[in-house]
Amino acid sequence: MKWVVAAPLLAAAIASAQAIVDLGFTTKAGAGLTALYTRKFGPAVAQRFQPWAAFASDQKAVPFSKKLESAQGHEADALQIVNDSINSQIKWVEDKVHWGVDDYWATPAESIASAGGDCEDFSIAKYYMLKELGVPLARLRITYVRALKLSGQAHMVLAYYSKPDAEPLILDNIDGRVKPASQRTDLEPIYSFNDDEVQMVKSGQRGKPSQLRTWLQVQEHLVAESRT
Amino acid sequence: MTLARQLLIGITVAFIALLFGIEAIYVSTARSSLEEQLDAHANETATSLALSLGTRAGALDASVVNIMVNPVFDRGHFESIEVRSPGGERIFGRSLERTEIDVPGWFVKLIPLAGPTGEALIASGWKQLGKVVVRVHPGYAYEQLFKTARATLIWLAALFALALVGVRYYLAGILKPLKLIERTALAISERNFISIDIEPGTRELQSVTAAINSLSAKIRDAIAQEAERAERLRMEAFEDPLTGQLNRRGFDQTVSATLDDRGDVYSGALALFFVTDLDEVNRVFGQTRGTEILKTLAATLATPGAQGSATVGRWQGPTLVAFVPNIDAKPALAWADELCRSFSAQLRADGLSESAALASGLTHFSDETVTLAGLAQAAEGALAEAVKKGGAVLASPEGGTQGTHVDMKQEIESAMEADRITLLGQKVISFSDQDVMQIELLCSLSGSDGNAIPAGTFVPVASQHGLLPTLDRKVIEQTLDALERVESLPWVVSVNVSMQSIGDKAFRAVLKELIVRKKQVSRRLVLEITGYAASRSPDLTKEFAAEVHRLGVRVALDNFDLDRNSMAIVHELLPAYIKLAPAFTQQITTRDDLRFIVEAMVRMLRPLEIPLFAQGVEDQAQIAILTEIGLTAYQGFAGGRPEPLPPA
Repeated sequence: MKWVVAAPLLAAAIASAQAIVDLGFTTKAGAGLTALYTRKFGPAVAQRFQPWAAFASDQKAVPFSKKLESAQGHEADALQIVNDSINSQIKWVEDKVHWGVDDYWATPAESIASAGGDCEDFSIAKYYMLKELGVPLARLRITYVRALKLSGQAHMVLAYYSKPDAEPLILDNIDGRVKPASQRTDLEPIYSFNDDEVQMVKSGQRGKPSQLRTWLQVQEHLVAESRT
Repeated sequence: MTLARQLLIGITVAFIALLFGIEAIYVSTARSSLEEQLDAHANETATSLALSLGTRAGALDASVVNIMVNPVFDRGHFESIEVRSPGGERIFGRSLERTEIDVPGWFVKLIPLAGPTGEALIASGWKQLGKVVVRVHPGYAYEQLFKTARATLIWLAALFALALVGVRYYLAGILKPLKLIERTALAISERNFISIDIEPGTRELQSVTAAINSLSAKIRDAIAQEAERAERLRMEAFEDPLTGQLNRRGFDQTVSATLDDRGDVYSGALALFFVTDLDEVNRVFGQTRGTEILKTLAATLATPGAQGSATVGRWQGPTLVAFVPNIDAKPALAWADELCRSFSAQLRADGLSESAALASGLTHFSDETVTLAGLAQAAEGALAEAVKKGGAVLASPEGGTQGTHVDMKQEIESAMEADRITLLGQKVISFSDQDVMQIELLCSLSGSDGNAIPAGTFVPVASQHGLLPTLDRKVIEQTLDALERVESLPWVVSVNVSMQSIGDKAFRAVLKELIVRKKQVSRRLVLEITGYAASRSPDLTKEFAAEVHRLGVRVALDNFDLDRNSMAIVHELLPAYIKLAPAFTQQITTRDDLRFIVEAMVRMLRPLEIPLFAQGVEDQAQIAILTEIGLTAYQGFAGGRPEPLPPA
């Protein structure tokens, strides 16, 4: 029940983060954050941030969101770019090995700076990248799945819904190719969520669609990062 | 307001503030935790509904949703549960009609408790089916909050009330010594220099107690010292060491003062006593025998008896003198004669010759004005005769004006009835700044012929016939009247009251009523009693003084002579001031020992806050010396003769 207690505090933190609409964006990784993570992860951090930030700014120049809109039926191609970019920047490492704890959800900056993460870190990084590139949140779902090919292991992917009732496209790190869900019979979806906190708080209603403790912790960390 | 009350009020206010503070904190905390619970409830419900709806159907249809949502809705405290399509349309919804919450409106307004909204996405496999939106009704939470808040408030209030009672008793205990200290301090300010005999437990109170006791003791000691000194000096000046009675000076002074107080002494006898052939006794039996005889004689004269109580003194050498007030001529003579015979017989019995015998020459006065000198002359003449004849001889005084007794009584009565009483005022002037401090009002009667009757004449007659209470009452009535009418009178006005009036119950009752009726001006009044009268009737004087003091009127002593009894009554009476007898003023310029006595008196009276005035002051020389000695003010011809009051 710990997250029940943490939730209201988080709500306050997130409410104050109302103004910070670019949480988790590459633009947020400034000198302060770079310095902080350099101390944590080593001198290579600045070098790692650079392509990550460059990618985002390049795509925004296109603009990516328009490309995705007009790609009717060929969204997979556009999304592939993002999937490839993130997958290449993060190496798959177990949380236990990489972070020293059983389950740790890293912020995108943390994953990029440490150049390592596990399935949820990939999904989170892709989620925030797409958000930064202007993709409406309503189309994104972070989804808990079972990886049937890996003896039913718990796994996480990012699903993109071009329309609410459409079949989603899956951005994954096990299989790097963006495919429609029907073609990913090796994944069994369990539960999905996305983050509408900012909108929710703006409308004055309390209540968080995603009450996951771990997700809320990520929010906390993002807010902390934005303060450096 | 007392200290205890102040503290208690302060503590009560603090308690009340605490009470509300704690209650507010409690409510706030309870509210937060309730909000968290509601949040959790909303989200749990949404999540579980979403999950179960997802597994149930490939598509959402109203009847399926209906079946699944209803039980959930009915179980909890929901305002609404809605299921929406991915596009946002409402597929199904149930909402609660606004029910009345059993909580007062002001409470709801005061404490905002919003029902939170929980959401969860419904998915079947990869397909998004929609979302569940759950809104919780805060009503139940409000009821919980209100009930517990109220209970907490009641418990806190009860607890605080109990604590307050405890505090009150605790305070009372600590402050108990303070009450006693306060009482002592008040007594000291009333010139009653007592000590505090308890030992408080608090350090500060201990210090205060010690300081007050030390101070009070110092003043007490100082007064006692000066009183002792004054007494010693007085004895040296006025007592005859041999007989233990007054010496010539002392006797002259005392009796002169007494003769001035004709209100209380309306008649009297002055008797001289001489043992014939005392030299022979000395020669034969030795000086000590003669001394013994004189001592015995003095003691016998001083013993009160049927004749009353005499003032006894050593007149000259072996001649003793006795002054007996308020006695008729016949009984006086009888007394003196009897004394002579029994004393002589005793001498015989003791083996002395016939030639040693007691002889007495006395004189008597009643209504007429007399002086001591005049009385003395007559008495000495009578004694010369008595020595030749033996026994006691009575002579009438010389130089006295004989007034017809009965006529005078009538004159006085008619004057009082016709209100032929005038008030004359004599100013009392302060030595330091020559300002008029106060004024004494004396009464003057005019006879049926319109002429003023001298006070020396009418006072003793009025006294003898018990007319003084009526006279004194009229004087006081007129005085109070004058206080109201005449604006130019000084603030303090004094009048004389005789012991005869004080002892009269009717007079006392009327006086009380007068004072109360004229409350505004009566507090300016001072009633003067002679030192002689006060020392003769100390208990009555004290009783009277206490009675009028309660009504706001003060008492003072005038015509004050220094004898043992007078000193004693000063300490107990604490008069507003003391006026020394004129005899003092006359003698003080020439005699140093008298000066020392008065100086000691001044010092003794200072902590008691009793000023000393001089009477009968006639010239500047007297004023100068009296100022040096430390007296406060004077009255007499030098300050102005008694004059009629100015008109209204």
